[in-house]
Amino acid sequence: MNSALLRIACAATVALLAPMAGPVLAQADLSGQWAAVNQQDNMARGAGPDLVDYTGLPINDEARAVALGYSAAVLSMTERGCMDYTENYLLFAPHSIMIERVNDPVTGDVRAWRISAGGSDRAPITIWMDGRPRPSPNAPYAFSGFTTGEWVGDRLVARMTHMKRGIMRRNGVPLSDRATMTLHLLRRDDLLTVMGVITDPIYLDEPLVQTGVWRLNPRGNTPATNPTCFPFSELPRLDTPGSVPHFLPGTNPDAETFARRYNLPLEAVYGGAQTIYPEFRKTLRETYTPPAACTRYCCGWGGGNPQASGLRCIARER
Amino acid sequence: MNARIAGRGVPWTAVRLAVAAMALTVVAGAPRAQEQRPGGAIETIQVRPNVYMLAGAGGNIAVHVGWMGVVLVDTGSAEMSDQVLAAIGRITDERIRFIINTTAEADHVGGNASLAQAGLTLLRYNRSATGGFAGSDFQTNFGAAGIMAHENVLRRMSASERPTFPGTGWPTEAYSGARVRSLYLNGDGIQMFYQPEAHSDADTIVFFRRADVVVAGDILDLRQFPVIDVEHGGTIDGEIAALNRLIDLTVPPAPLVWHEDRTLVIPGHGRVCDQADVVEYRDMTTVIRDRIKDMIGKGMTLDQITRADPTFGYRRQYGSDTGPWTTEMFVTAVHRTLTAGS
Repeated sequence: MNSALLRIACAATVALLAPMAGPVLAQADLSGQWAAVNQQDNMARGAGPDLVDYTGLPINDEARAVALGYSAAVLSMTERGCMDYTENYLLFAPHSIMIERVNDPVTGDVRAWRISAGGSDRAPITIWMDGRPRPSPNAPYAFSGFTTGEWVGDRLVARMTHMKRGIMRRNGVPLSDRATMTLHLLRRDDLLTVMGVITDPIYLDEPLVQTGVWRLNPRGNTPATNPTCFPFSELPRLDTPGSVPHFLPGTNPDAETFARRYNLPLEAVYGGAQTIYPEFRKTLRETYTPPAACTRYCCGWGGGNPQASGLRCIARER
Repeated sequence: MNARIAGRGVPWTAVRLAVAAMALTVVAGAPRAQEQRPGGAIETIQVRPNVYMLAGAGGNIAVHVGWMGVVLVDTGSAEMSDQVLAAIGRITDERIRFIINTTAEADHVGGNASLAQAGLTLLRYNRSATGGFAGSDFQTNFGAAGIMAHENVLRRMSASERPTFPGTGWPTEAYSGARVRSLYLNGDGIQMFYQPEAHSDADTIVFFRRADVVVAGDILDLRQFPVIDVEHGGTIDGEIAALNRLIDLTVPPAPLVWHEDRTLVIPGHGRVCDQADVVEYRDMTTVIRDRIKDMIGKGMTLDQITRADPTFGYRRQYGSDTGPWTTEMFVTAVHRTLTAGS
C-alpha cells in the first residue's frame, strides 16, 4: 500500500470531519428520568390557577374575551374527554418527564430526542434532529406538533409548529392553532431547564416566555406513554347535540372573584402585554393593599407540610 | 477489466474512508431542502396511502386511488382543471372513473366537465354503438366519468341564474331524500350523508370508510367563519348540525391518545383536519350562535347586534372586513336564519 497516499487520505478525513467536532463537544446528554421541580408557579402547576387569573400573560382583548367565556364544563363533553393539552403544557404541568435519545440504528447518529408525556395529558414531543423538512401548513396538525431541533452551543433549541388550538393556562386562556413554540433545553449537571417562547398572532401581543426545571432522577420511572383514556359524557345535558358550555359576555360569575380575593386591580388580573413588565408592578405598589385575610391556598396546595411549597403561610402567621 | 485489476496499487481502504467522510460531511452539513412538488398553484397532500388532498384549485379536492382508477370528491374551479389533471397525473396513471360533489359552489364543481371528460365511465361504453350493450348515453355520461351529487346541485348547476356550467359537468347521478347513499368503489365503502340547511341546501358529507377519511365540503371552511348561503337554504342551526355530524363520523385517537391514529377530515378549504379541529370550529360557531340568539332575545336589532360584535374572540382568526364573506355578512346570515318566521 502506498503509505503517502494513505496519509493524504487520512489527513483529508480529519480535515473534513473537524468542523463537525466542535458542536458535538458542546452537546449534552439529555436522556434519562427527570423529576419535576415545582417550586416556581407552584399553584398553577399543582392545584391549578384561580378562575379568571390571567396575570402575567401578554394576551390581547380577543384572548381575554374567549377566556371570560370559558366554562370548565366543556371538559365534560364526550368529544373533549380525551383531548390532549397542547405541548406548551410541558411548561406549566407538574409532571416528571423521561427523555429518550433515538439513534439511527445503522449510523448511531442522534435522529431525535423524545420527551415523554408520562401521564401529563399531553402527547410526547419528538424533536427531530435529522434535518427532515417541515410539513406543509395544509398537512394535518397533531397534539404533538412538529418539532425540529439543533444544538446552539450547549443548548438544544427546538422549534415546534403545527400545534393544535389549545390553552396557555388551565383556566381557559386560549392559544390558537397558529401558535409556534421554541424550546430551549439546557442541562447543567443534574438540572435541566426548559424555556419555552410561545408566539401566537391571534391571541398574544408579545411572546409568552415560561420555564420549567427538572432534576435528574436515576430512580425515576416515568413511563414513555400515557394512561389509556375512554371518553364518555359526564353531564347528560351535554349529550344533546348543539350544546356547548360557555358564558355569554358579561355573565361569568367569577369575572372578579380572583381580583377580590387578593385585592388586585382588574387591569392586573386580566393580563396584557403591559402587565408583564416590572414597570407595571411599580404602578401598583403605591395603591395596593393586601387582603385582610388569606382565604385560599394560604399554606400551599398540596396539604401536609404547609411550608413544603415554599410559600409564605399568611393564615398561620395570623 | 474489473475494478480490482484496474485499481491495482491504489490504497482503496484510505480512499473509501475519505470518500465516506466527504459524503458524511455533505449529508450532515447541508440541510435537506423542503420537499416540493411541482404543479404550480396546486399542492398535493398525501392523507392516506391511497388518498390525497389537492389544495389551491378553488375548493379542496379529494383524490382516492384504487384498482378501478381515481374517484374524485369535488373538482375545483373550471380554470384550474388543467393543473388539477396534471397534479392527478403525478399521483397515478389511472384515469378518473367517478366524481362526487359536496356542494354546488363554482369552486367545487367548476372542473366537473373537464375532469369527467378526461376520465372514463365505469360502464362499458361504445361510442360507435356497434359493440353491443353499453348503457345509455346518460348512464355512461357519453363515456366520461359519472358525477354524483344531491339533486339540489343539479338544480343549481342547470339553473339559468348561476354561472353557466356545461351540461357535461352536471351530475349524472343525482339523489334526493335524507337516506344515506352508499357505493363501493376502489375497494372502499363510500357513504354520502346529505346535510339539509347547512352551508346551503345542497351539502353532502362523503365518508371513505376503509380509508377512514371524511370529506366535508364547505360545511367546514377553516379560512373563515362558516359560509351560510341563506339564499340557497343555508341556516346556522343546520350548519351546527352538520358539524356535529362530522364529529359523530370521526374517531379520535382514544384510548391510546398519544398516538396519531385517527379519522382525518378534508375540509372545503384549509388544512387537513381531525375530530379535535372540528370540535374547535363547532364550538366557535355555537358560541357565536348563542351570543346572537341571546341578543335577539333581548330585543336588539341587527344593527345593534353587529355593533356589539358577537364574533369578538374569534374575529382575528376567522373574520374579514373585505372579500366575498365578511364578518358582517356572517352575522347577518346568522341573524336572518334565527329570526326567520318570527
